[in-house]
This record gives sequence, structure tokens and C-alpha cells, in this order.
Amino acid sequence: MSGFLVWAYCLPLPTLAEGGLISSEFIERGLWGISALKPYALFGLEDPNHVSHGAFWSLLINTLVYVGVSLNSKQNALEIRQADLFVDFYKYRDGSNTYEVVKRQAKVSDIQTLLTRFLGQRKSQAILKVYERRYNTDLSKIHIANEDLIKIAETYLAGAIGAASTKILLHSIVKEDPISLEEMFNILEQTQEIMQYSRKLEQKSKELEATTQQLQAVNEQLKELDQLKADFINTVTHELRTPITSIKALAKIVFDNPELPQEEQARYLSIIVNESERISRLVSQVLDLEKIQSLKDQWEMEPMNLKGLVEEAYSNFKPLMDEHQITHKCTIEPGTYQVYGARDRLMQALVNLIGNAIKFCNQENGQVSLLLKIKNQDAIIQVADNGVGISKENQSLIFEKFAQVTDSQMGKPKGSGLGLSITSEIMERHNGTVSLESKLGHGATFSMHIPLLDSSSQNDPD
Amino acid sequence: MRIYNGFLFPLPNIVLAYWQERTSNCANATIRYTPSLATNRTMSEATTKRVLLVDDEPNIIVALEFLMKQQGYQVDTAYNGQDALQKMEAHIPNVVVLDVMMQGMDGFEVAQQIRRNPALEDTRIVFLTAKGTKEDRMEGYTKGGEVYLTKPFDNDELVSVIGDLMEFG
Repeated sequence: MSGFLVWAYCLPLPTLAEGGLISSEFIERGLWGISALKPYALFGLEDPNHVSHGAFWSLLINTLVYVGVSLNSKQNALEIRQADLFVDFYKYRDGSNTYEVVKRQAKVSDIQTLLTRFLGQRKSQAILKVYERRYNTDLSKIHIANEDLIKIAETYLAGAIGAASTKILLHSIVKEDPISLEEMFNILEQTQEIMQYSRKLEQKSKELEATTQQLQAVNEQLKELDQLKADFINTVTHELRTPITSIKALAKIVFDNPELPQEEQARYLSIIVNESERISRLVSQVLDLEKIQSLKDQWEMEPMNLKGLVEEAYSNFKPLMDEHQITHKCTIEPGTYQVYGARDRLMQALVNLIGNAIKFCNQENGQVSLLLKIKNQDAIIQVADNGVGISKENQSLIFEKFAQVTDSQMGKPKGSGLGLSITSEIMERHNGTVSLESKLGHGATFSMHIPLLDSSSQNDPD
Repeated sequence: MRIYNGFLFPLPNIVLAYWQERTSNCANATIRYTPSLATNRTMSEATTKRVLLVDDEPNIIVALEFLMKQQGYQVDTAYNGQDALQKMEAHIPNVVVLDVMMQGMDGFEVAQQIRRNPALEDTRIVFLTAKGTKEDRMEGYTKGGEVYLTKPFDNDELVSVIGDLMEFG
């Protein structure tokens, strides 16, 4: 276009002038008397051949203008794309982002509505106030929004709903060139990205919530464990203080009263001995329990036969039961009682049960019976007595540490109250269980269930 | 002054207290607080003093019983809270020695029941327990205990504390 003009100015125009159609004055003196604009010697460059002179200048101008315009327009497009892609508007807020939109026009009220809808009444008013102060204008008096206002609205909206959506929204109220296909694709892509991002965020926050809940649960558990430990220490201290109290008081009595009759002295001294034994029993049981609970203590687990174990325990207790005139029997059903276990520990668990049976069986006509049998791939050792039994509500308590069912008339039975919890810990370590069947007044039967080593080689007697 | 000497068995304390109040003018009160008379008290005078020992440990009761009988007090024993309240209905003690950690009703609860009962107004409470924290002590005092002793106790201290309570209430 510009090349054509130059060409027209350099060639046809002077020709027309020479033909006398228009004034030929500018040929001699240049346009408006400027000598540099002489059609046959543009910018002082004279060529005897008017055609080549015209062609030279028109081509040169044409090229320059083309390059200039294309450079200019290219930069504009780039800026627009950049502006479209930005999400974090703070990066671009410093004004470097000054792409020109010459034809944009919008009503102030439209922009206000838009801001209110997406940012809320208060924030939009604050934004407009800031604008008024900065540009020293009164928006209520202006009908058509200027470029600055649109830009500010765009910036804030971009922060809230994303640059692409902002662009669409503003396009809908700003009279501007329609959006190009490329821009449309950009907008769609960006929306998709934002949606994906928000989905990811949602997922992340759900994960965080779950993690928080897990942590809280773990924390609760730890607190509970801590409380259990504190309770345990409290109880141990109490259980230790009690025998120490009797020992100290009675020892002092014997010491202070040398004139006491022999029998009375002997009675007090025997209590002292018993209570001392109680202390040492308690201490060793607490240590046992601690050993069982801590994983540091590596048990020597090995294949072993329960038959030998039961027989040994039974023969060890026989003299004691005979002494207390307790009727006793031991039944071992036929079968191979091969299990994987720590012999000493299983013996300890069994001894606790037999000891309890002897302690709690009927005072006059005591009966204690042992039974070894197989049921459902488990070896079962049963220890039964004919004592007062344990009531339903106490059955769940009895495996707790230090729990003892107190006879209201006689005070506490002797023992630390740790035996059954030790037994159940040991069974747990063998993947087994200990259970109780009892009815108040009808004795109690404790059963140790231990998984058999190789079920395929067993012939179930049932 | 020894108004109960003529009886085959000592009168319950509350009856005595009532009688003493009725019978006259601060004569008894002076006796109560005169050290010379207090130290010279006869065996029969001391038998009126009654102590209830409450503990679920029979062996501790054995020791306490010996010490109290040595002082010439009438001794009742109970192995739990319920039992203790029943024993107090039968004979009102001057002093109750109370364990705290007992199955069922604990010592603090027993103390509260005692304080709610107007008939047991003059009964003094000594807690004797393995619970030795500051909080436990505070609870003991708020539940109506006069003295809080921890296990293991010192025989002489226990005897003198109970002696003071018997003497001066």
C-alpha cells in the first residue's frame, strides 16, 4: 500500500502533471516546497531513468513498512498470548504487561456487576475505591469505563477465576474484536488445567484429612498406652507398698516387744516371711511381664511336644496337691502334639494356670484336672478346678493386670494378680489364646489353645 | 466422772457423750483437756475408746490390731468399705483408720458416708494408704479425713496420732 503510494507519487503523478492535468509546480520544487520530496529526485537521490527511480523507492518503502508493521504486529500477538497464559497475576502487575487494546469499551456498571459477582460486594467496592483514588476520578460520574479500569478488573478477576475465564467474561461486556480460534483453544486448555489442578487439590486435601485422622488415632493410642503404663507403675508401687507395710509394722512390733509370747512372735515372723516372698514373687513377675512384652527378649522357639510339657507340669504339682488333699487327674487324649513354641514360657503359662486352680479350688474337697486334646488344628490344654468360679462380669476383667476377684469376707487372695496376664501374653506370642469357662459356684476351666505345627500329619482323634 | 463403770459393758460413745453433756457443767470437759489426768487414765477409762480398722490386707490389720490393743482401745476390723459402714452402725468408733484403695467402695467414699451421717459426727478419720501424692492428700482432707498417713507407716507415729485424736478429738 505504502509502496504503491510512493510509486504513484514518483511516476504517474509527475506524468499527469507534465500532461498538464494538475499543477506541475511540485516537480521542480518538491511537495509543499520541500526539495527532498521532488518526485524525480526523492531524498536528493536523482536518477535519469524515472521508472527505475520510482520502482526503487516504492520497493524500498514497501519493504521497510512491511517489516515494520509485521514486527510490530508480531510483538502484539505474543504479548496477548502471554497475558492469556498468566495465572499468577502478581507477576505481571508491575505494568510491564501493557498490551494495547485500542478499541476496548465497556460500561462502568457492567464491570461493577462482574466484580461484585466474583469477588463479593466488599472486595469489589474496595477495588473501585482504590481505582478512584489512584486515578483521581469519580466512577459514579463516568459512564464508559476506560482502559485502566478494565485492566484492573481483569487483574483482580484473573487472580480469582483464572485469566482465561476473565478474558471471556470481559469480552462479553467489552466491545472488542472477537476472540480468535487459537485464543479459544488456549482458554479451553487453561480451563481444563485449572479443573485438573483443583481436582488434584481436592484429592490432596482429602489425603491430608485422612492422614490427620490417622495421626490423631495413633496419638490417642499412644496416650492410652502411656496411661496404661502409668497405671501399671502405680499399681506395682501400690502392690509393693502393701507387703512392705505389713513387714515393717510387724518387724517393729516384734522388735519393740521382746516380752511377747513365743507363738505370737512366731505368727508375726511367719507373716513377715510370707510378705517378703510376696514381694520377691511380684518383682520377678513384673520383670517377666516386662521381658515378655519387650521384643528384646528373643525367645528360643522350636518344635516341641506338648505331651511331655503337660506330663512334667502335672508330676511337679502332684506332691503339692497331695499335701493339700486335692483330688487330681491328668488326661492326655491320643495324638501328636507337635507345636512350635518356647518350652520354658509355655511351662510358665501352664504353671500359672495350675497354681491358680490349686489356689482357688474348693477348700474342703478340692479337685483339679488337666486335659490335653486336639480340636480344629489346635492343641488344647485345659486346667479345671471346682472352686467358687468367676462371675460373668469378672471373666473379662480377670486377664487384666492385677485384677483379682476379691472375696468380700476374707480380703484378697494371695498372689500378685499378674499370673493370668503373663499367661495370656505368652499365648499371644505363640499365636494362641487362653480362654475361660466358668459359672459362679461351679468352678472354672481355663483353656490354652496352641496352633499345631503341621496339621497335615496330624490324625484328629475327634 | 466414771459414769459408765457400773455397766457390764461400755456404753456406746454417743450415749456417753449425750449423758456427759446432760450431767453437768464442764467437769468432763476439763478432764478431757487436763494432761495430768489424761496421762494417768486408767485401763477402764481407755476401754471406752473404740477404733475401727479398715483395710483389705489381713496382714496389715494384724499389725494395726496389735498396736491398737496395746493402747487399750476396743478394736473392730473390716476388710472393705461396706463392711466398715455396717460395723460402725453396731459400734460408733472414736477413730476410723481407713485404707483408700479397696475393691468396691473405696476409702474416700466411706469417709463421705461417715461425714453425711450425723450419728458419726464425733468420729475422727485417719487415712492410711499407699496413695501418697499431693492430690491424694488433698482429696483425703476434702473428703473429711483429719489425718492422712502413707504406707508404709511408722508404728510410733500412728500410735501417737491416734492417741491425740482419742484425747482431743
